[in-house]
Amino acid sequence: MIYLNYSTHYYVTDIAKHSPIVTAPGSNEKNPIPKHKRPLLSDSPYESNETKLSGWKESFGEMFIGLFRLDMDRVRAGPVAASIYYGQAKQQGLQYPNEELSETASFYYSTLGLPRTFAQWFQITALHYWILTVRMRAMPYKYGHNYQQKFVDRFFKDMELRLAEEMNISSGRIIGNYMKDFYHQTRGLVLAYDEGFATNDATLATALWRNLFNGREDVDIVHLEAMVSYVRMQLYVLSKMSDREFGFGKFTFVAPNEIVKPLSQAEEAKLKEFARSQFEPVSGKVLPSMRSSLSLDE
Amino acid sequence: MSTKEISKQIIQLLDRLPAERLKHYSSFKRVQTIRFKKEAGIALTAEEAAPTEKRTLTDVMKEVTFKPETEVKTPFVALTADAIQSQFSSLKKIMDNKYQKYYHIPNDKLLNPKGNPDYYTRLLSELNGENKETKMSAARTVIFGR
Repeated sequence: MIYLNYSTHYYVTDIAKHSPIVTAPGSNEKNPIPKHKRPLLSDSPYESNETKLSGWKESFGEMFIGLFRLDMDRVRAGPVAASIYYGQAKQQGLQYPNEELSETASFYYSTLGLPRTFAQWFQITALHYWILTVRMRAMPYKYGHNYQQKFVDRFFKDMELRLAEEMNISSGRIIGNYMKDFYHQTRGLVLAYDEGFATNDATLATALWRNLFNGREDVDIVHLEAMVSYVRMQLYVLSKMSDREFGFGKFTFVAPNEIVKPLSQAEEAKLKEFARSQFEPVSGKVLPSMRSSLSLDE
Repeated sequence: MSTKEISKQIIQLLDRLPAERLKHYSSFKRVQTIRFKKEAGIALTAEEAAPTEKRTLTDVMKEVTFKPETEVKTPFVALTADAIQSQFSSLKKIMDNKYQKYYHIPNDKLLNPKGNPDYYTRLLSELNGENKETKMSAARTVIFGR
């Protein structure tokens, strides 16, 4: 969990709900009922929360890592970027027909009134992918690039499987066409969001309007403002995390109904001290699998 | 202030939007200017009134292959005074960079990323047309990843 102070400043949901324009919840009438619901990450038992390695397997693993001096920062990219971070990004806008929406999904589909479609889920997930990418880019290249690669590989693999099993598309050719389209959209939105991030809120807002809000003429600008504050808030939190914390998967997206207050220098120092105590215990004893060369200061 | 007055102020704010560096499928500035001109009762210019989207071959094929859905055109409904005011105040906050300033990221940690320090400089100079990528620099990016 993120250990930042939440206080009463700009709640994203409050900004969005503040609008006097009544927004109809997004509909999902045309979405097919999935024949088979995919697990959040994969069918592998190692990615389920219930699986725990037995003691001897763990000890053997630690011995193996220690003996061969494996670079755990490279190894960790898969379980962290493709499992923890992709799982979080996927869940933000995940919805199924005739099922109750999660809290974050309810923000997108009920509060913002976005359509409950697969393409919209893709847009929400891709936005969170881009947010994470910005932070991954600030890691040493060797590791950050690997994290990005693992995330995007899982993202597209999962989309392909979801299209086949949950959207009930049996034609490989049609799935392939969709995948190409999503690939082009990803390249476009990463460019647009990066431009917005590096310039100003107005450019970021127009990028969000074109992508997340599907270029709707009747967009509620209050909703657009809420999303600009949401994106800036996530990036602020990410900028305050050290490479080590981020690399170990300690980041969680701030929910739209939570708030982050800018930190004072004293608070920042306290957080750094806390992170150091978590990753570098006074005893100096760290398991081989927990070793890392990622910085705790930057 | 009347809704028409506020709509005119929104249009003035939209005018201040930075020019788009790339041509996109739709322009926020153009679409919203038209929307609020309708609210303010201002006549559209000939350029604004003309349809912008060019139909591609794919669009034509789609119409031939699939029966197009009957488009239900919703009649224009003017926004209430409260609604217009909220649109104005949100747009003003966006134009004033409120959130970029509030969530200020010091030390350029993310804008000069360690893994790819020139990423944003190269991106913006390319978009602004200041320093175009050459074939060699593009090939280098593809091969080395940055």
